[in-house]
Amino acid sequence: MRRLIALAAACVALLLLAGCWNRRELETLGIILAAGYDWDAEQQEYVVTAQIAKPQAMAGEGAGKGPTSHVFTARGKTVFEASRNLSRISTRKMWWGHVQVLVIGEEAAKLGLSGLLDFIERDGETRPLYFVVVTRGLARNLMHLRASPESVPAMGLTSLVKAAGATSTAPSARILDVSRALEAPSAALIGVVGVSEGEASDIGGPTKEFQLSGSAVFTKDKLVGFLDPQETRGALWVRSRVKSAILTVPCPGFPGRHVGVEVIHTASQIVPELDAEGRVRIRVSIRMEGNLGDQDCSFQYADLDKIEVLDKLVGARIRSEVEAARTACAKLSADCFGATDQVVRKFPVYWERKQKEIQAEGVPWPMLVEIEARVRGTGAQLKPTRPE
Amino acid sequence: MLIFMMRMGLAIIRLPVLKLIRSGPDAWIAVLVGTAVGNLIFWLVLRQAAQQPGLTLVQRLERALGPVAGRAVGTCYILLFLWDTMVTSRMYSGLLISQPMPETPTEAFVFLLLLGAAYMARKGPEVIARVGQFVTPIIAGGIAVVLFLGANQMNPRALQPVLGHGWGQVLVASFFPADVHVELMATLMLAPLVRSPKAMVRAGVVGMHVAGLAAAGTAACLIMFFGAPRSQRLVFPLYDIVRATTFGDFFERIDALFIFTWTATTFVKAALLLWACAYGLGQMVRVKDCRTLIRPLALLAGLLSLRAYANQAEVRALIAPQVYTFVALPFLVLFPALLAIVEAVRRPGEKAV
Repeated sequence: MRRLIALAAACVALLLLAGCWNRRELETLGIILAAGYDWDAEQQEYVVTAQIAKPQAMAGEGAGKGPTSHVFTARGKTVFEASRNLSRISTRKMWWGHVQVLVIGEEAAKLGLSGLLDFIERDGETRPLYFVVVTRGLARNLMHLRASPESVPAMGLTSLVKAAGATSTAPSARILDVSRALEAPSAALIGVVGVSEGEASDIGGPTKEFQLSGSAVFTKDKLVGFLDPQETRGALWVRSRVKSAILTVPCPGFPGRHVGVEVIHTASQIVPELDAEGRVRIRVSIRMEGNLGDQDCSFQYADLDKIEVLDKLVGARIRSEVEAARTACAKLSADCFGATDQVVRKFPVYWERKQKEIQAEGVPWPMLVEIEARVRGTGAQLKPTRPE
Repeated sequence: MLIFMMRMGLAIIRLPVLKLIRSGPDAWIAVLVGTAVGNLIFWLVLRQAAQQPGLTLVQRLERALGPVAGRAVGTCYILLFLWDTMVTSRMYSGLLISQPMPETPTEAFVFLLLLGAAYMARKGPEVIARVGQFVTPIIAGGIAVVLFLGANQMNPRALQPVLGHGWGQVLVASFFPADVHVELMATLMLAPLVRSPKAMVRAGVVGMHVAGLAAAGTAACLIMFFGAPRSQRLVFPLYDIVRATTFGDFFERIDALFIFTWTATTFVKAALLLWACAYGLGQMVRVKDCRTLIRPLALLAGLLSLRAYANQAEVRALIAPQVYTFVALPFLVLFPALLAIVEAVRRPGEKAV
């Protein structure tokens, strides 16, 4: 009898435990690939714009017929409410688990990122792996942009952010990086995305493309200003975040001609020191190794004494970028180099005692920058292609 | 293995000490120091237990302190084990409903866990130990995989400054992890079943040290991953590493691995606590087959865990180290010390009147 009851219970359990409680069918979900966050100061509301994928337009019989994504916009007093309100206009339940990139509008960035980060870090569906970019103006305008050559605009934007290291003129950051950076006393840098006009062709008018260049500077969680691409790379040199770049320097003895050096490897170190009067100064050492990439002059860099000339030129170029960043960041009263983080780590007691005073003054740390640039190789040829 | 499992469960996923220390980067040192002190205390407790090899904790209490006082203290231990079962099941459901499965009722997780734990407990401590032996490498491997995948995003500089605010705060914070050691008292109910008392002490020491080092290492990894301020904000920081882990942009979303790992530890821990509770109660009230008590106790733990706390905030407030440590200290230090003194004074073989 007991066995019979157990068997019956097992059969009932099979019926009851046949699937997940929170089961959601794929065709009922609107998979968000990119999301934009704006702040409407007039209405005092967040505006969330979601770009969802239309898989049926990407593959199979429907491929190539119509747009591959759809854009929804909703409002709310909090980010979460605005995000949930998307369900009022979409026939599908919004799914945040596969978001690739978040675009933050300028006004929302000035208001502060804490509301957005709180939602993403708290919610179970979201992931802190999303890439983040800031745009001057409204994020929702970017969500509507149909950029080529990617079939889904969000994927194009994501690829652009991932490839930011090729020029290092914009930082690529994920939510996790931003969250960590905003907790630190130094400023955080987030890449800036805009729109550039493409070329007109026989098959259509000028296209519009995403353009990632420069960075937005955040102190605490608020946007305080922007750095242009050169200034951004200047800050990234010090932060040891230049992955690759082409440094163009003038060709000596050939006015108007240039040489391109590809950055292969970089490393930098920020060392805070106390001077004789007990004040902190920062010693920055930047090491860079690169290869001669191209030249449109006939200067013989392959010669032993000449390559040193190139080393110096590249070093001067790096220094000019760092100086440009210092000037720009000083105007914003922001430490774009991460030097304050190192001061806190090395002199915690000093920082605790002087923190308020230093932050109120907003004066940048005195910085001594040492640069060691080495051009190691000349590529596949020894002499320039250009005839002497 | 069981000691390792007990320590790796709730304590390692919450790492409450992270939230205690003002100088966040030093939290891992506090875990290390706290573990060393806690391990020393529990080693003494184990050694004392090894000198009375045929008796469980409840029997030793009754024998040393007499039927009234001994049973009173024994009841306190049984209530502690029951309460620990309640908290374990509630925290387990808390993680699952707050993150991966928010729409599933808490009751479903609490009772499914306790159903499985009661089944295992009814099979006896040998089965619990065997399951522990089987899943321990999986758990250790699971945590190692999570931390390995997160390693590329860890910043060792986040651990600086080391002792930037001196030893003071670290020592104060290291006092609190004593709360996690009190759970180990349940393993003293296994003492009569262990063949060699010396081996029991040795295994206990190894288990405690490995688990303690794992906890300190995990704390350091969490600080390197999130930074000290953020790791202090998170309810289940280890789970958040899982959410934020990516390896080469293709290997991510390993939540299932983590949930499986944690479910396995929680099952074994809840089963051992339930068995210890039922076995101790059975010895006190002279029940012939203590297995009959396991299901009612599991039901009681389940109902209480749902009814006793209105929300997760209440659970967390009660098990916050600042509170729980002071609840735990009598069980970890006072009663064992009392027991040791009485057992030392009393002649071997002499029984309390």
